[in-house]
Amino acid sequence: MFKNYLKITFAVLKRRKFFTFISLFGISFTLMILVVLTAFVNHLVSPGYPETKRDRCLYIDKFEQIDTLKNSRRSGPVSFHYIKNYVSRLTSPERIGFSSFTNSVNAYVKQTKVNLFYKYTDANFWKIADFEFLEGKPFTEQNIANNDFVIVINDFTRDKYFGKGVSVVGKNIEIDNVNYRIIGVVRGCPITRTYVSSDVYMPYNTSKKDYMRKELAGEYIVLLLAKDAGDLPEIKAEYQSLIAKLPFRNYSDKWFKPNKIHSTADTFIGSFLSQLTHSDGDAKKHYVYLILIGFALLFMSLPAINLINVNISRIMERASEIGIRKAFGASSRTLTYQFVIENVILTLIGGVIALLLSFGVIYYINNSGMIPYADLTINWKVFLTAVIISLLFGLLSGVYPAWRMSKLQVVQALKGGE
Amino acid sequence: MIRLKNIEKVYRTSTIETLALNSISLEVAKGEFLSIMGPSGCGKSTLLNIMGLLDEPSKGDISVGGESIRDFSDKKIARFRNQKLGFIFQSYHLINDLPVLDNVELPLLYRNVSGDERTRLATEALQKVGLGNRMKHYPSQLSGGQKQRVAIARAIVGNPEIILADEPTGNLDSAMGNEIMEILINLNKQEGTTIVMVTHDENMAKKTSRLVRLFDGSQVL
Amino acid sequence: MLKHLFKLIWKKKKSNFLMMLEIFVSFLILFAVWSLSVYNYRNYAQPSGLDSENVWAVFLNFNTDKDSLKIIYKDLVRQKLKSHPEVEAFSFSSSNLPYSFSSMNNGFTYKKKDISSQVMEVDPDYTKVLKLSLAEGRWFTEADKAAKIKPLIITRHLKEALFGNENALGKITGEKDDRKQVIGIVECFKYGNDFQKPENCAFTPSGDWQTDLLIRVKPGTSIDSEAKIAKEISQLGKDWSLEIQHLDKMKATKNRIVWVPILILLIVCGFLIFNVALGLFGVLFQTISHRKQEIGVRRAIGATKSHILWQFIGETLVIATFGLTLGIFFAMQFPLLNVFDVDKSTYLLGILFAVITVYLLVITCALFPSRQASQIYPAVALHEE
Repeated sequence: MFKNYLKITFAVLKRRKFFTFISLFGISFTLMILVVLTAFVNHLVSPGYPETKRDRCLYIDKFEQIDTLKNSRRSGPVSFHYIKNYVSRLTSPERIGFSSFTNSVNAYVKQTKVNLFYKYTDANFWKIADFEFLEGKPFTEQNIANNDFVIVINDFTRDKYFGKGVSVVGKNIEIDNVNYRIIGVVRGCPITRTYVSSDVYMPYNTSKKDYMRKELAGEYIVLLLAKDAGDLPEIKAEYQSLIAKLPFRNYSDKWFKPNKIHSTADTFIGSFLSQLTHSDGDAKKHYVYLILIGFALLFMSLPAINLINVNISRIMERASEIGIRKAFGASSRTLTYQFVIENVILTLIGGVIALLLSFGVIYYINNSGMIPYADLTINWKVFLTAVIISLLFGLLSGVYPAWRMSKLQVVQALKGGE
Repeated sequence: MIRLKNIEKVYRTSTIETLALNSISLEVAKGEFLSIMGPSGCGKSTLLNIMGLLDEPSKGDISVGGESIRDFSDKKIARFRNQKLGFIFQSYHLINDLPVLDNVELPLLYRNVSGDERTRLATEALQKVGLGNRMKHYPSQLSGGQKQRVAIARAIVGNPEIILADEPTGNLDSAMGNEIMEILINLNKQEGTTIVMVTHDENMAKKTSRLVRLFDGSQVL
Repeated sequence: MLKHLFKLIWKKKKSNFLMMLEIFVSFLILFAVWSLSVYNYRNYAQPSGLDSENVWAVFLNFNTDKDSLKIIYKDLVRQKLKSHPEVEAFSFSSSNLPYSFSSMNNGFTYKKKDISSQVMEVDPDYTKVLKLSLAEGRWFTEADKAAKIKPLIITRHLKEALFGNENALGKITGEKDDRKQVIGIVECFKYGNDFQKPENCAFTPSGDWQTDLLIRVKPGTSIDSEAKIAKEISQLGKDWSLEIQHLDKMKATKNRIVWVPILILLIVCGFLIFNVALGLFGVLFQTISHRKQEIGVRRAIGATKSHILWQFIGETLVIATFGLTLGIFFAMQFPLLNVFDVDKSTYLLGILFAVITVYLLVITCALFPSRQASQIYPAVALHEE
């Protein structure tokens, strides 16, 4: 029976090339846009080089002191002092590392200006982020204890500064008028991984700023690595109890006497939402998924209506065929199945075309340099999403016309009309 | 009124050539009720279509009211059909999406007649065919005979000089067919409308004033 | 004739419903796209009020918290810059430089009104660096800095928000220690990007702690000179950090943040609309080939070719009008309820352009199938059963 359906489907598709083209065009482009978007969202939120352990990571990137009486607040990343004396007391994480917010600086080489992003990090940073070292190694606790001016650079910096592919470990590089000895070269990562992405990395103690300042606010983001993703709630809770016990700082400023502190350790998506909502973002994760699904459905609705419309036309054109089938005993149900299956096959063909197109678009995005080091991929997750969306789309646009068709009276149908 | 001279019509497909009409010469006089008879496929409908300027002959000349049709533009032909001709078809050809009244108004729509005037004329025409009480109905709610009466009302609403009827009784039983014939005969007698009717029903043809027989595209009588 | 078309469509409302729905959704999308485009174009068409070419933004950090040291350091920098012939003018500024990612807002009070505005604390030479032109009044000078009541230059937008129709020059805002007097008005100052709507912005003399700089250099200043100046300045102190960015490049970056999403949106919407157009085309084709008999009858009754052509285009336009009417009803809520605080005329233009686009689209889609319909031979159409 199914083979029969298939045969009829292909015969129908071949006979009406124009309608087939319209349908396939609509389906494949709609799905392509959704697949590319899914790949992009996936690129943003899923673990990827070098944050392969993102599923086990929490981030503290915002520390807010609030004066509820005067309704004023100060917020920003945290200080070394705060990490050293408070965060490092946490016992539940496997590792605690930190890095500064990314800043940029100019390097003038051979009459050109190279704008470099830089981060100051500690030694644990390299154990939390899995960078691939093309050459050399990361700096260690020992380097920091020795006050070594060592630096890890990425391949982009090496190529710009020294030349493509040359060996540079041991050479010196001047960053903001300070001389550093290169200790390692890593493969660069896309800028969208903001917590780890940079062009050069230096030990925190080589910063020109007075990093020992006894102040809670500073310029560092803390990365907490759990042994297991299941431990994350426990770490979050432990951090909250730490915050609850934190003393308020007395500023000389008469306008600002903080009496409330707000800071959360969030997962990657959660930290993004915390920034947006000024609250614990992890609790709001499901809204994001709802919004994304809502957006996808909204986006699909117009092509779906269009496809329904085209489908109805296709059916009406085949009214006499349907009439004959009915006259010879086909039940409404069989005909409905026939049409829904036809439509699902059509959408699946569209899905395959969409997937091919998506490969093209993603290849283009990855290689155009729009996002340096972009590594958008269509993995099984994206692929599965695409297949589910295709089926949904096929059912969405096939069921109503099929219902209309099954309602058609035999006599009317034979006459070829409504 | 209408004069056909040596009309020939050839249908060509990629493989065969069919001669549908072979050298037909015919004159329809004002006020007569002419019927064209013959078996299926003898070319009677083709002849009627050519008379009604719906189709062009392959050869020959048509003149209407002394004017040759040859160099009429599409617009002029359309206007001629609209003002001088009325059509009745075997399968009625009513527009199913429009109520009866609107169907009858249709010819006036292409004639820039005001809305009120259209309604008045169409109502009048419908009353003539005895359907004054069905104006708001849709064609699907009518019987075959009623549909054909609507078609007649549509044909006469513009007060044409000639009515061309293509098997008007072909889809109807004899009682209804006779009813329709009566209406047509009355039109011809009382209003003086010229009627050309194609039929294969001997009984109907006998009721008309003149009879032309066709066989395999040629005139036989 | 129009009534005739309405009747035809009303009878087939069920099968025309989807087409109307499509037109309705397409209209809403086009309305959003056009409103967004009109809004941004109108803002873009306004002069920016500043000249960013050959201007450097210098992010200078002395890495010290002591204001007394900063005063000394700043003087060192001033002297160094003056010694360079490439430097035409320079001004220290608070960190909210034009096209930067930081902002600094402050409230201004006047007659119980409290208006929040961007505040830039700058040197008297700021106007020379950015080539600002004043609509009214004057810019402040070195002498004004010492005054008890600080001078204030505001944008037209802030002037209107704060003083309405009153003459703003000479007016004093704030209280006690925080009093400022308006001495000048600039027409506009688009400090965020070129697509920025007119906004509140105020300029006031800088204090001692602002360490970021704007420098206007001679056209054609080379990278080598830039490297030299950067090196010389950062070597004045031990722990200084310095980064030079070009203001026009910063502007391009900020502009990109606005137009790239719009461009992506336009592409996606363009695809959606194209998709709808193809669909309409196919459906109309189908519908018309379904109505051959009707076309035949109409031709027999005396319709000309152009009657048939216009009937089908007309029908499609009527369907479009149904969808549009519903769409306009929803779209009109935006200007009526003043959503997003956007100028009413922007929405109205958005509606107008969207309506025109829909009609053009529909006519284009209907034209070919309708032409095809008008070419149908009546004798053939009537005998096709």
